[in-house]
Amino acid sequence: MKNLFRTASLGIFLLMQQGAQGVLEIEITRGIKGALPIAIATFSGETYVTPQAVETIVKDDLRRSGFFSVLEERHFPQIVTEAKQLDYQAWRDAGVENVLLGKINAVGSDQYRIEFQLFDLIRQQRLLGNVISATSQDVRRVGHKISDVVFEELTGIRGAFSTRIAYISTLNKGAAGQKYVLQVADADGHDPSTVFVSDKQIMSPAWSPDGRRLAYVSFEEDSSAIYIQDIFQNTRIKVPTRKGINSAPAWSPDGRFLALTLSKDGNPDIYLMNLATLKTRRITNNSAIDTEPCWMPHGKSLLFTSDRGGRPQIYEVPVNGGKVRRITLEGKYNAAAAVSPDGRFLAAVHNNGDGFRIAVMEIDNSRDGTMHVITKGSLDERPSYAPNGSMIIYATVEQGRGVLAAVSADGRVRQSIRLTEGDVREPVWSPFRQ
Amino acid sequence: MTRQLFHILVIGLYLTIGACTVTGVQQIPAGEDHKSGDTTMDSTGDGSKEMTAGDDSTMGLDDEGDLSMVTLGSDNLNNVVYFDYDSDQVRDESLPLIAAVAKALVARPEKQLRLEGHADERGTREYNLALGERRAQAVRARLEVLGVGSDRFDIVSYGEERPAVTSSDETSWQQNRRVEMIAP
Repeated sequence: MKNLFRTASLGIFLLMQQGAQGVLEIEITRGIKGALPIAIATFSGETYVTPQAVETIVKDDLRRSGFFSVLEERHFPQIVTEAKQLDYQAWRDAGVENVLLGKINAVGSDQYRIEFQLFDLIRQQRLLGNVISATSQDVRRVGHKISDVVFEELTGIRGAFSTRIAYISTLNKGAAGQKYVLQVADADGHDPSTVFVSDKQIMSPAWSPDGRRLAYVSFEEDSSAIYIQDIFQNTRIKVPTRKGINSAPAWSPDGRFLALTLSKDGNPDIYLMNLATLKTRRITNNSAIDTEPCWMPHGKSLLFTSDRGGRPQIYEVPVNGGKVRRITLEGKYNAAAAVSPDGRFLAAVHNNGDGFRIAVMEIDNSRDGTMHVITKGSLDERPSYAPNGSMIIYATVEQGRGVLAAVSADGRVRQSIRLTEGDVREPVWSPFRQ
Repeated sequence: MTRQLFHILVIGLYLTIGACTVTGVQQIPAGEDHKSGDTTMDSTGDGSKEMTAGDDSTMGLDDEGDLSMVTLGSDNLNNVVYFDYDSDQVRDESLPLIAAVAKALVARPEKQLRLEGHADERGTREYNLALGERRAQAVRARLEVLGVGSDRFDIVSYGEERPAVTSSDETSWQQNRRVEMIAP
């Protein structure tokens, strides 16, 4: 396991223009002390891979993760296109411990050969090298793949740059042709595609553990109902609706069950639905509002939101019955918990009087129940962890418009993901690609 | 004489049953124009902001049992009950409206009433979906107490998903914290 806090840095050469479709604005909120400094020398070559530059994708990915500080081009001690040109000492003097070199060559009609090598300047050796063949369509995928490889090599953590997000978008807001769209995009917001579009509202998307299906709530029949859509086959089923609320779907880690909120028995409670039989079993039984179930990774208990204590707080309940335990101890309002993949932390929507923000705490609150606020608010919602636990995506409002933002799990680096279309909300991060 | 006494007794009964905590139900002054158009809300939100204060008294109980001022129609936007932030408590000033609706429903047994519950945008969407339903249930409870049978209701919550007004300030939020009573 690599020491996360040794300083290493990579620098980046930029040969090509940024051709971003969305506007990615990276804001370093608390400085990058302790981050791994990296230099990414791109990606020289005889031809340009259009429209986006591979090295820009890698640079943005690594910077956004909060684990890396990327050396700016103007600080490069030398221009490097071949490994043998590398002056290890010069780069070390620039504060860098790792350099990524890359090369792109056209090898046929719309066929490219992308080669990259990662160097450790302290040990003065090559750590890894690889060659990827791709068409121009694959450029972003290749860039994210390289980011994954570099990230895992230097942090010991599996990279999540090749994953996706789902979210809800309102198009033509306020106009006659207003539509609600469930979309899937790359984790950095690029290349969105539509899963479902409707004249009526959509809520609460949730990825199946295999990344092939999305459950969501639709008001197309003028009442909340849960649908499960296979995004590859473009088929969907409607979960049998009960009287009242049918909402907040959450997949069990093994994909066999859906936790959900039903109010059929008088008030909103958490139920488990067996997806093979579609039978439900009641989990909470309380006259309060119980909603927003969220599975612990071991599958044995659920976190959920309840106002049984007066105002919304996060609680834990065993799936097979047992005592309900209160988790959040700080703040007047805590809801919409998401659990880190290692099961140690939760992120929640937290309000202690100065707006709705995302806060993180240890689920084992016996040692420390402190909520660490990691966003600025004041209408932040829907935190969702990357599958490697390194980042949290959430919904916020900027200048009256719904946008998504990503923050490193420790709150150090924050980035707005301003997609070109619509008013965006309710992001949820996909699992790793299977 | 006897007839007048009867009506007074009936009104008294409504007050006792339906409004244990009411202190502000007003007698309707004779001859006043009770047109509900005064309190029409439109989607741009520039109708009366102080919707609930005082206006609902114009739709209160009528000595003669005349239901003409309380019409149950799907586009009657005057049948809206408003709520405080994070609350499902029916305000005192809504009780006359609710009483009038109850009376209209009792007189028209073929009518179903749809109660649509809503919340403002603050807080999480799922919690607000539950809160909207709770508000609708609170209005239903009041109507049931006034004699409307429990099988007369369709209850739906839209949470924060169908706001009446889409800007982000207290005036807008107040207009969104509502239950709409609709009898199509």
